[in-house]
Amino acid sequence: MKTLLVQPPLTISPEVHPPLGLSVLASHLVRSAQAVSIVDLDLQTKQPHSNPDQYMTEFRAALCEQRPQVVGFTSMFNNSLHAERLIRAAKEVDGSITTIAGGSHFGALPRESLERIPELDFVVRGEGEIVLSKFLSALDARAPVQDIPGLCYRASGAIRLNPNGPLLNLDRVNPTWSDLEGILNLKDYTATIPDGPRKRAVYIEAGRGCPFACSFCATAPFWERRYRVKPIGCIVEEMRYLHEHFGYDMFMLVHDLLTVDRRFVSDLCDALFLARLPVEWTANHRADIELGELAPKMRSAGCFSVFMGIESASERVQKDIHKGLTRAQTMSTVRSLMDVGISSTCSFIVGFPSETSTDLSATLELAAELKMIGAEPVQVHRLRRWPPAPLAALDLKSSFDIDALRLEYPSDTILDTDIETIQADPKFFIGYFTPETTAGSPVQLAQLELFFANALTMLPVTTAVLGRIYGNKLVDSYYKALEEQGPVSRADFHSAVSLRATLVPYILRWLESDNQLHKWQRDLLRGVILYERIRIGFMAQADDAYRDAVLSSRDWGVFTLPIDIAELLKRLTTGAELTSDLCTKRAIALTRKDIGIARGFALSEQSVERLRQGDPDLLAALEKETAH
Amino acid sequence: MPLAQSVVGYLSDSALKDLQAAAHKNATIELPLEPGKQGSHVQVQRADVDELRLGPSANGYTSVQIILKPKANFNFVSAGPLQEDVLSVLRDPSYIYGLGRLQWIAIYVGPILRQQDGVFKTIQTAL
Repeated sequence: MKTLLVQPPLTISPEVHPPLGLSVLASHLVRSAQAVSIVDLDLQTKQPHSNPDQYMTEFRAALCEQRPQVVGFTSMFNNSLHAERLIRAAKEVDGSITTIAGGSHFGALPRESLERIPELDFVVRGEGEIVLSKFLSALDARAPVQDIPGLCYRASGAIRLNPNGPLLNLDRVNPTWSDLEGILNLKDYTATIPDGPRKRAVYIEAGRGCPFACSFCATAPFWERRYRVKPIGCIVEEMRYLHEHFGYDMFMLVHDLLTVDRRFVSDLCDALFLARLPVEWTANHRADIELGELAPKMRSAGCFSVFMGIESASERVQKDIHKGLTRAQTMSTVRSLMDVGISSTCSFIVGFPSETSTDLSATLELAAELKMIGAEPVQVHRLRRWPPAPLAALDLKSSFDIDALRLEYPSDTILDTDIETIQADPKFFIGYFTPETTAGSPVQLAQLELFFANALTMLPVTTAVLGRIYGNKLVDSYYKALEEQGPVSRADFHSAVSLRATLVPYILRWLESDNQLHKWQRDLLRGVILYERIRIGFMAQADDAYRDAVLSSRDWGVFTLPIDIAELLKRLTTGAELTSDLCTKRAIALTRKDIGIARGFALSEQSVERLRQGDPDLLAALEKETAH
Repeated sequence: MPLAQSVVGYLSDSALKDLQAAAHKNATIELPLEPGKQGSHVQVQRADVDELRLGPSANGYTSVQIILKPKANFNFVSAGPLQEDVLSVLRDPSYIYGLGRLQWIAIYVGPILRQQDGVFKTIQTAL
């Protein structure tokens, strides 16, 4: 049976990764002797000639050229409307084509998908490999499909949902990518990676399933919360193949929670030692899983980073969402990972139904503290409820949230018809409907997420000081500033310099209008903002990089600050109290090796004077710090 | 499982060749922490070395892990030009990651070389 698998447009990012889900599925079908091809419309729409409807043109062309008998569609939640249009187009081009859909959205909502889309013939519920393989074999043999587990379809005027079958035994899977020669040209993907020193990153599957039961998570129940891993040899072979043939050297090992099985991770590290591949990798971890001696082993086997969902600093919220992390565990884990050279991506969710502005203040304060001890990046996301997450099944009062749609939509411009379609079907598009929460209104939370996600990235020290000074009143104070100053736009945040130009005056106006602050607190914050404004401009080589310099050369500058920034940084990382003595004038020197690569030094008054007088030793020392 | 201490860094191909061939038991090995840069390095007495493990090579440099004998001493030497009493480094995380993440690679595997009569000899080609 000639089958075409379709990846709809997925992101607005110019860098495109090979479609992991479809690639794994295609590899399985190849091994089952099925004739399969892939058309990746996410990749196709990144071509320079593309327009918003280019994906439809490319898809119709692929249908006419390949003449498939079956067309399979996948969809993340954000591109399900694009997938719907493609399904309809397939039937328009050739009414005899059998259409089938799966993936996280269709697979989680099979009945609703069949009800919505008359042109959709079949839906795969849950995991796709076994179902699709059996389905295609049945079509080949003109055999009935009613006994294929996990298959959903219309029969006798009703929708029939076959019970799920057993999950795929990942112990026996084969390497994915080497099966796809002639199906997917990986060089087309590496061509989208910008030139430069950055590493070539790619997603590969390490396994599936997380045994935990966080209420907001759609992935764990999708894989039935059963921890499974691929054979270690298979993972290593995939890394070797992708590195040696396509130059990929950074692997994102996709698994809901790889470090659940520490023995497996230890064995994987051993295999990576043996493989001698000059590559790095990252995986998902949980802050309450003790890695102990495994952490340095992971580091030396190439692990440079782990992703951890922290979600909230509030123990009550942690309990409500069935996660149960503590602040102390999180801080300890990030510190111990940093000690061995593994950075932590820490992700937070804002807008849980039971969350309050006090909870949220604690969360943002923790986020800033983690950033100060080395977590990178620290992410702030708004709650999205996607099936089959337990939270998505609750009947919560919610309202349509255009900002959530803008964040997820795989193109810059949202079609008006898509907005209308989504608003008309809150059940199917539940993720774009924000549940009511005591933490803030949808507009407040959208602005809070935008503001603090960027502030944590660009002005981490300022954000940490704001957190310390305002404590559990941080969010209330921010909302007051928001009311007075109005919202900021995502368009204002397209570069480090434009971000600085938006955030810095915003925070300064916030401080000016707050008459509850002590003078020293306001002075301290002003001093920190000045420091970070200087640092960003200096690192980004902005036009005004040396505006405040008292001395400068091509790649270094000396600046005076109204605060003791070195002591402040020390107190922020150790938890020591912030006091008025921090408002003491001090000088700093910034040295730059390249755009974005810089160092900062506290400078004594004597050193500034020596530099003024042209002390050759000190000048040579600074120049050495700037050597490219 | 017995634990051993090790130090890691990068050696140029010529330095690596010298290290494997030379027969000066009392010599000091200086292992730079970054390829091609002498600013920071680890000093190890040759006599204290139990194994050498070689990793990937690129642009004339090879990553090296030196497994130390029990109770061996090593010195971390930072040749930073700035005096701590005059200038001290600001512990701002923004300088750690900059506007892009630092690049680092660390996989140290065979061949394993062990010192015999002052010369490093291969004892195992892969772990």
